[in-house]
Amino acid sequence: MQPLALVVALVVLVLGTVVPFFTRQHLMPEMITSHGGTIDNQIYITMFITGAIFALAQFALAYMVFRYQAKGQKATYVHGIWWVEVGSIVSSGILFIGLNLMGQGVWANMHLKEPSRQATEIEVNGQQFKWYFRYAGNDGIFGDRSAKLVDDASQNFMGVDYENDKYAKDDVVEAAIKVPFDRDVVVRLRSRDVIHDFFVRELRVKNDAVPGLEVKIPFRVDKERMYKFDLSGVTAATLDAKDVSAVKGAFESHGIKVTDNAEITPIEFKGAGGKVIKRWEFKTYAYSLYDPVNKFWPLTYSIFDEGGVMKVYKTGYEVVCAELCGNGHYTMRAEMEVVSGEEFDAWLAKRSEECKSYH
Amino acid sequence: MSVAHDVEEEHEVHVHQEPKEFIWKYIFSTDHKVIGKQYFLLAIVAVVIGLGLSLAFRYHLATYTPQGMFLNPDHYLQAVTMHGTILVFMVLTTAPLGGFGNYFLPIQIGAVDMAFPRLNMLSFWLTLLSFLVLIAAFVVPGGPPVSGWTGYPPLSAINSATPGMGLGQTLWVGSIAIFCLASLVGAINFIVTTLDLRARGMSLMRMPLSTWAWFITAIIALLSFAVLFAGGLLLILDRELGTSFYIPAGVVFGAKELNHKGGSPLLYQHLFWFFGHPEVYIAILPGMGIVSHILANFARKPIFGYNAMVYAIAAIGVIGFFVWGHHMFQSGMSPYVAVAFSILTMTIGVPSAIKTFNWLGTLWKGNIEFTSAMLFALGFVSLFVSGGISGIFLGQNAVDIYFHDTYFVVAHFHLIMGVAAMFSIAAGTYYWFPKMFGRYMNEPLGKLHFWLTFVSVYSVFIPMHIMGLWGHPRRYAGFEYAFLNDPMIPSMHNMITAAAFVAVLAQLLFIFNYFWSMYKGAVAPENPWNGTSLEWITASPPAFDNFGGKEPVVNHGAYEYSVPGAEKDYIMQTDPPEAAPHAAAH
Repeated sequence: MQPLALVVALVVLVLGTVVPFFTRQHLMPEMITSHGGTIDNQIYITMFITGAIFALAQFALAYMVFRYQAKGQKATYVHGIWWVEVGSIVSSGILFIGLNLMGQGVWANMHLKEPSRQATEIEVNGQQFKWYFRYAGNDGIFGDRSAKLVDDASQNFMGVDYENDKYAKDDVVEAAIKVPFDRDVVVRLRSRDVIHDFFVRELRVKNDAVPGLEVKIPFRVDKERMYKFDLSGVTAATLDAKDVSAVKGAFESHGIKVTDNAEITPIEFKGAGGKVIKRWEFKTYAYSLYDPVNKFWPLTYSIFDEGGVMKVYKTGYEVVCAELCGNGHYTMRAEMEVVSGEEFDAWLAKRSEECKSYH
Repeated sequence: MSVAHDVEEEHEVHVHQEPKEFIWKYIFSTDHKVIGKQYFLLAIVAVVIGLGLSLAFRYHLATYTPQGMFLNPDHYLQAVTMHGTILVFMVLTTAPLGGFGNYFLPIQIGAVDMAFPRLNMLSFWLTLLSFLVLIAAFVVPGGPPVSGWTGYPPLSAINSATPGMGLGQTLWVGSIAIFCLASLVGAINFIVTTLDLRARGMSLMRMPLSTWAWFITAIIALLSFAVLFAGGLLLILDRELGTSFYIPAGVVFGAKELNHKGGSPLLYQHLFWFFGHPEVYIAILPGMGIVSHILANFARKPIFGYNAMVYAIAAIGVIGFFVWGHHMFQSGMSPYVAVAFSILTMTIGVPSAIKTFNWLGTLWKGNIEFTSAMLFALGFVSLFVSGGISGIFLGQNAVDIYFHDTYFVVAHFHLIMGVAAMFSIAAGTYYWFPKMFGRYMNEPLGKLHFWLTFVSVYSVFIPMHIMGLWGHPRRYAGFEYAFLNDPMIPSMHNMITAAAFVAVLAQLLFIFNYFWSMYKGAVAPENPWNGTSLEWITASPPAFDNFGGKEPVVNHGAYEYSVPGAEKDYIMQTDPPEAAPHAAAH
């Protein structure tokens, strides 16, 4: 009875674990960065190899338990078989270390390569329990900062030296992060109090923000990875009219629930040479399962007119903290918006001017 | 064939008298067996508190609403912190090493006691003091700390960082420092005892694997707790005397810059994980030894690849000191160092794989009896495989970018370090209880305990791996994150919580069985499982001097089961060589 039950339990364990993984029902969330695919591939390769080892080992245990249960037989007196033992050492060594070496390229690309000099730099600052993001402004140079100048009352959360440093005056500080797609980006992670961790699932980026340290993490969002679907039969005029009902069916047919307060907002900037940069932002909302009246989060998409075809991209994401930082740890989040490089430049130029005039 | 020159006879030994007064016999005892039981009792008290805390925060997560939380966020993190600290230090370190190691290491090598019985007593009482100091954090203003069992500064170094970081955090650090001293004293004792007090004929390669595991674990503890002690001391200095070992310049709290400069939060992490990773092996190596011992006994077979198993235990002990950086891949540490740590981490998978392979080899062509002890030993093998497999993900720096600090990590270390170690403790208890108390534990209850635990722990931790794949961060008191409002998340949390309740209730069954069997269990003979090692040649429970005034002489290896040509299917280590000439070389 016991051996049979154990065999059944081990078989159920293997099937219950491996099958959902291999049917890809419970795998990774979407991924939008150039390097993210290589991380996912490494995870899938590891999953495949370790899944096979897991299944083989559990099945082997089940087999031994069932086949050699006590039935009056005499056990075989054997102290080992040298070539089997050596074989297990060599094969496991090659497998584990080989697997690891395969993944080193991914790591090297992210951490060992000097980031592009043209990369857009964004300073990310963690503090209990908020994120703030600083951009260098139109002069392209981050202004000085000092802990002595931190003043939450006047919203100088990072202690930027607006008074004395000319490069600081046009710096832009925001509570949400805006990232250009198809462009190299480097986030400079810092913290002003305890250790936080900058984590965006879809970027496959995670690193601690440590007081006293600045850590640079490069990434590049690929627009094509944000693509969701085409909107057929929808024109710019429909979207300018903010007619949610015209797009509701298309979104819901792709599994995106459209709430009653969903909205379309045309976003327009004047870029270099007066070029008009336009998209339509579509926001629906995810209501909290725990507090559906008071708590909800925007799920943000953007519709781009690409040669007359209206294409939908997911452009809104979440930054969270993944390192225990105090009692409000679980509330430490910020919104991340991914926009085109042109729009990013135009937005930054505008905000930089606004900030300069303010300071 | 004459082998008379190899035969060594048992000699009488003289030991100090057994104390008669209750206080010296049971409280301030220097008898390693009493001290072993004291450690075990402490672990039982600690596990009840630690698991109770886990039920509290699991219930919180299952019933969470922002308006009506079962625990507020402070209390949630305090419960998580104390759960981890109590389980890691007061249960997983004390029961397998302080409990079983104390009781059985001297007996398994044929010694009458530990090398330094008074130090042994001191070690236990320091451990108890450490436990009481830790528990005192519950009743001081602000309560226990919220900084997790890892206690990273600056969060743990600054009183104003968040509620609970005042006296509670100081008590936490003080408790850990005392625990380090206790472990150092204990470790020295284990090492000296093993090296100096082995009976005649008990060569190192005749020692049971359980003894090998306790011996290597003691060496690991000696080297690692010394570093943690230093780390804890510096943290106390930062907290109480305003030094800046871990706090850099420019740290701001309450919009004011603190008066610290020159420290590094990463220094603490290096010191902590230099201890922290070997601590995984302090928790699990004794389990590996105990399980090996039990598998051979109930499969009625010699250990498959005994020498390889010994070298694997030693290799794990050595390599375990070179891999701590894999806990810090995303910490801001040099990425070049991460490459080295990652590759070294993978090498430790090799001795672990050897052990798994050889456990299966030990079962192969065996004659397996399914006692409660054996079921838990088999469960340990299954859990060790499952927990080890997920370590291959986390040991890779590239993959850890995504999994770091998610539920995947929680699932991994609970399976390998927590649950597998608990299974080995249960296996050891069912196996050695007759020796410790002269009575069997109740077998049907033991089997029920196994099945409830085996099914429920997998039901807790397999879903956590999936939640980790989705990116669910750990140590979240609530769900203020859009993706955490996917309907699958609360379903998973509910299922995990239900399974956790079953798992904890099953342990109450075990504790009941333990105490009930002490008085009501069937009376056990000297060698109830037909074992071969020295604990089975003495009375149940053993005499004060372990062997009734005789010094055992060892003529065989520890696992001579089913020897061809032998009268019985096992040869005890003290049987004369001619009892099994075929096996005498081992």
